Amino acid sequence: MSAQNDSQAIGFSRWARQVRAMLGLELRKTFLRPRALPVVLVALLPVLLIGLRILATRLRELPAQSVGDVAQTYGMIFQLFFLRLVVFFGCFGIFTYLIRGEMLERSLHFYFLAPLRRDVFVVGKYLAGVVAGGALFGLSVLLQLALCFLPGITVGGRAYLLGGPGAGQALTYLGVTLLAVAGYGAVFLALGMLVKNPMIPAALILGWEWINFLLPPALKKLSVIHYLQSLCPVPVPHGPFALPAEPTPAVLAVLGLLTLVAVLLFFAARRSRRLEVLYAAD
Amino acid sequence: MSSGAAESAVLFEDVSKFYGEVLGVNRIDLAIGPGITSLVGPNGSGKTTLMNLATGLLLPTEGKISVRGIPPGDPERLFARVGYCTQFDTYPRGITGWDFVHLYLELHGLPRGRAAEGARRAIARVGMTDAASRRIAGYSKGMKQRIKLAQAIAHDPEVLLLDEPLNGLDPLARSEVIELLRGFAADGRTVIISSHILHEVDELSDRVVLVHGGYIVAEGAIAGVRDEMAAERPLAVLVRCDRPGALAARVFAEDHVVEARIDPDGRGLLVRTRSSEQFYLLLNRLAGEGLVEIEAVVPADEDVQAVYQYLIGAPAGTAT
Repeated sequence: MSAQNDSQAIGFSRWARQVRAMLGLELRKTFLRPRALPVVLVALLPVLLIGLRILATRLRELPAQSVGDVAQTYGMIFQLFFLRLVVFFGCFGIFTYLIRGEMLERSLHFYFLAPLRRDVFVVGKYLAGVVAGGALFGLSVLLQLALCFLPGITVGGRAYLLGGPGAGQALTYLGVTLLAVAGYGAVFLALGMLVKNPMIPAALILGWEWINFLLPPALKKLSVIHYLQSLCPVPVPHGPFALPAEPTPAVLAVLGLLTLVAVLLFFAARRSRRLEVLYAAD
Repeated sequence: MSSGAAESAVLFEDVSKFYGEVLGVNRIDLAIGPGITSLVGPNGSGKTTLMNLATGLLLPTEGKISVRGIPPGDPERLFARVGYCTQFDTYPRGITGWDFVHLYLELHGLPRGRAAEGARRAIARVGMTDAASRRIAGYSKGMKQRIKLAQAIAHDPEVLLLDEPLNGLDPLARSEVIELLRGFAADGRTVIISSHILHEVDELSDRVVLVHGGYIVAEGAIAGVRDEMAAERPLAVLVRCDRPGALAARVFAEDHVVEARIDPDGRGLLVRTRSSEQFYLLLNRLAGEGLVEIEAVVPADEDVQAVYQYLIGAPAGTAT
């Protein structure tokens, strides 16, 4: 039995091949279709808003801003709008549908009839979401930065972004975006497997993330946004009611987020073992 | 084939499945070995539930299941040996017939080249080569059925489960699929099919499992099952011969014969007996004595339709 011999001969490389096959299918069937349009629009919303702001600046013939001011303003847009709302809701749309979507479209059995460990299935789905979300939100960040530091809008913006400290900041923003996708993605993947309607728990998580600046330092650490903020290159003030806390060192912040991802994926993988193909019930 | 081919390929031990408070199957003890076994029963009787339990798509509420000694909770080992052609007519969105089979083999961990080779072979076996590049969503029911079959056999499984595999197939495709399944069984593999087309079950199966209301009501070779029922439902045997009257007078003297009726054409006798074995011995003796010249002996209700009708009470023909 040729397939069996091949399948049995390999271990980790076999899982890698399986995940690669999943990625190819997932990226095609989940993200290159009209259903992905709302997520794409959400991801490009900051680009649109920044573009409108530039247009207004041009129309009112306002003077170009300094790079320091723009960097500070972008830091606020990134942390308060992009991470907290755009990436959050974008990841909600992508990751809660990854497995629940298979049930709604009655195609889960395609994977469950393959010699695919359920944990490999969960990891494959998660990676597909991270690749798609990372590419989409990463592109959004690059477009946002390109618009913010356009010549004529920001004095010395091009030099700052391409050759100055802005280049490092741009890379950091990209890295934080990827970590945000990984973190929120794991949260929503696990949530999608836990409850049939993830809207209400997602709203609670959104509230928790939003009031993070009001929480005492110990509780702040029980969130994704705290670690992401600690990594952001430009600190952002949170107003007079914020309870200050020392930002977590970068290494610990990254490790903390990756640990959270690992724990949530472990939980999701455990849940997936009890998953049944009961389309009529969904 | 592995040396363990002769052992029970699929084993249910005291298995029950409830969907909430609704019974799926109850207290199932079943061992299925090599050859073709058909699960027969009306809609909702539990046939698909049994197949889904064996392949891990459903989890049993109670009991243990194994396929070639592998629990369904271990898909990595299970589906290296098992192929399942489900009744589900839904597919990953936008997928072509080729992708459906090729991706499935890639999920087996095969390198792309080998997966492509296997997909090409399986698709050719079900006669779908020309349509493979088209999207499955545009296939007819019969084409969908064939591409599902290609997927199920693509990795050359030892155990093949097929849920209503002949549904929607035209007569030619039907006979090709039947031949393919026979080939699998002849190779010492286990083929389990569910079907509501009873004459095909009769033609195809070495063994039947009759399922009704979530319970197994009978199992075994069809003739054996029928024999077990003979006390309550005497077997009907049609004997074509030159002197049906003489034969009727002679057989009617036997205890196990409950009815003997001469055919209207005067060339045959329909006998109902509680023991087919004793009846056939008697018939041999009478033929040897020269009492009658026998042209043919035909069991009149020793088929799955009759068994089904007697046990489940639905009209013979189809089980739906």
